[in-house]
Amino acid sequence: MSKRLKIVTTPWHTMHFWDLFNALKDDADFFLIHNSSKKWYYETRPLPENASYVPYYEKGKYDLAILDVDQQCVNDNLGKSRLYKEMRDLITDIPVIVINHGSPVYPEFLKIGDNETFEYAEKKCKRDMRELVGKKTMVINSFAGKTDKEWGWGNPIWHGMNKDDWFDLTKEPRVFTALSPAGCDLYYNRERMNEVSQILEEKYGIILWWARVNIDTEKSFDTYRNYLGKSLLYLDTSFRTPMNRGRTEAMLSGCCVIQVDGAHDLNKFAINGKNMVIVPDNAEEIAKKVVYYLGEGYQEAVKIGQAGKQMAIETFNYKRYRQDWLDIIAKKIWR
Amino acid sequence: MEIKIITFQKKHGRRQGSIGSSIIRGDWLANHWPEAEIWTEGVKSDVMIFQKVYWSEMMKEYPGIKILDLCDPDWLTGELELVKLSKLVDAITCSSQGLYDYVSKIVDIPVRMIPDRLDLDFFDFKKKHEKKLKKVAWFGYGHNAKSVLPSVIPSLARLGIGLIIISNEEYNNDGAYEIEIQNKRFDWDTIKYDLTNADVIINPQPMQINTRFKYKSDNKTWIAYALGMPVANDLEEMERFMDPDERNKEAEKNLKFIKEKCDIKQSVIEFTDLIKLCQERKK
Repeated sequence: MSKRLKIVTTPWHTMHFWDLFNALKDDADFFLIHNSSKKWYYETRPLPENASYVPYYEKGKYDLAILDVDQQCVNDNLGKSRLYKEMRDLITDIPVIVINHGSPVYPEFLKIGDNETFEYAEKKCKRDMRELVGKKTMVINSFAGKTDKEWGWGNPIWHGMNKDDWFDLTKEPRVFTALSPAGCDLYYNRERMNEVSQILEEKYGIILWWARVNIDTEKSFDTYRNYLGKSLLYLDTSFRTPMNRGRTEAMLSGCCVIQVDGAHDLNKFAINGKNMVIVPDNAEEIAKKVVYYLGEGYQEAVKIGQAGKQMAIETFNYKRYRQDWLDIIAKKIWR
Repeated sequence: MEIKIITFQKKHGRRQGSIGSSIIRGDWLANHWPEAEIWTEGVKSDVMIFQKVYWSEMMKEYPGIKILDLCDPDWLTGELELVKLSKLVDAITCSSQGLYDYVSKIVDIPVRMIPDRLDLDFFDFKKKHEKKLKKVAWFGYGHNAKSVLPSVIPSLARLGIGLIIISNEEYNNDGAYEIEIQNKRFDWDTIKYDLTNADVIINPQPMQINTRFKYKSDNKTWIAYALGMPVANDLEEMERFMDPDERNKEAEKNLKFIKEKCDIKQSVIEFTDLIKLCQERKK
């Protein structure tokens, strides 16, 4: 692309946007519209130089808009749903790409609990999302997201990160997770994380360090990456989230990732016991693996962590990420 | 000229109709101001009215005329940094004389008192008083009910007058006095009918007048007047309104006052004048 693009958006997922803006730093400037629902969290990431705030949308000023949704946007009562809808209805003169950050796991919306109704809730969520996004291009964060089990449509783009943003430090024998601590329990498989935490503490006297639960790693970007970089193990129990970013950050920090099986796209990059430890969705089994790698398996974990880092550098980098985005932007703008 | 009103209700994602000041100083104003609309995400405008919205980030970026509209003394609780925000906006409007008196001494930009006037189209129903006073009504936020009602309930019980309480939370009399109390949830869709179910609106002063009281607007009294309901501020006034003829006379006088002084269209004129002043000051 010869000209520098002007892309208008609203702040949504600070970490996701940090990488998107930085990856496209030679190609685009981003304009974030002030809104009532979402903001840039400066404590977690500084605002990149090619991004700035604007007070409102102005026709004729921009080449492209990026809007964001997740499964919670099917709930009209939330501020982020209103934000998406009002921006979608306002921006009609330029192409719009929608990034969908979630998967159709949102039983809380319909307040239902058994397996049969879970299935119904997911079907409804997919149907409502189709309506919400319409014919706009929808970028999803994983290839699994495109399968019928998840959204059933969308343009997958794996995230990309800058390896130099992450600190691979001497590893302390501890287990850490940055799994979101609130909301969407089933989506994050948080019940399993809670069980593992309880078993580790009660049975083995081991504390699971959990960001925003028992350790304040969100104070600053440096606090987070320093803590992550010194952690031997990173645990992720989610398997319906499309490509957890925290897991890639951990891999780039040289942590040995312990991941519950069935997570999106694992078969495309993970090799059990070589660059990641894949475990069944069973709290006792997960706890046993944690205990092993924190104890006699320490050196093995360091080795797996290094192989994971190498794989992450090759797979989740800015070069590939930038190209994926430029390809999809080119299709939208010059079709 | 495009004018957008960002209301507290809209900015903070509250349910439509749940914030009285946003209805009165947002929706009602926009209903009678062809150039004005309630703000929506990302929309461009020439003027922004921040109705109890203390959004410094937006105020810094927004290039048009900015008016901060105050209806509460939120500097007392630290929610509002009055001096800081006054340097980011072009003018301030206040809903009461008390607010105006204080704010105009503190800031060095134009300040205007624009009271909580009414959308008279909304008040299309007037009470006809025919019988002796049987029920009074009180309306307002639940926390205020606790500070004003205990002082009037003994008198109401003695006179055998029932009480309708229209609020966001239920009032519990604890059975200390024998009085018929009817709790109703405050709802803008039904308020005019709920209020006119009574014969008189009572507006007692709190037992201990706190600092915030002097900043309150007259909106409750005016709403009652617009429905043809007399307002009793004390026992003496209530006793005067026992007689339906007295109430009809009072209602007629008050309705004239409302039409002359409390029409929201007057607020549109006053806001428009203030915007013109701001434009001139910006030249």
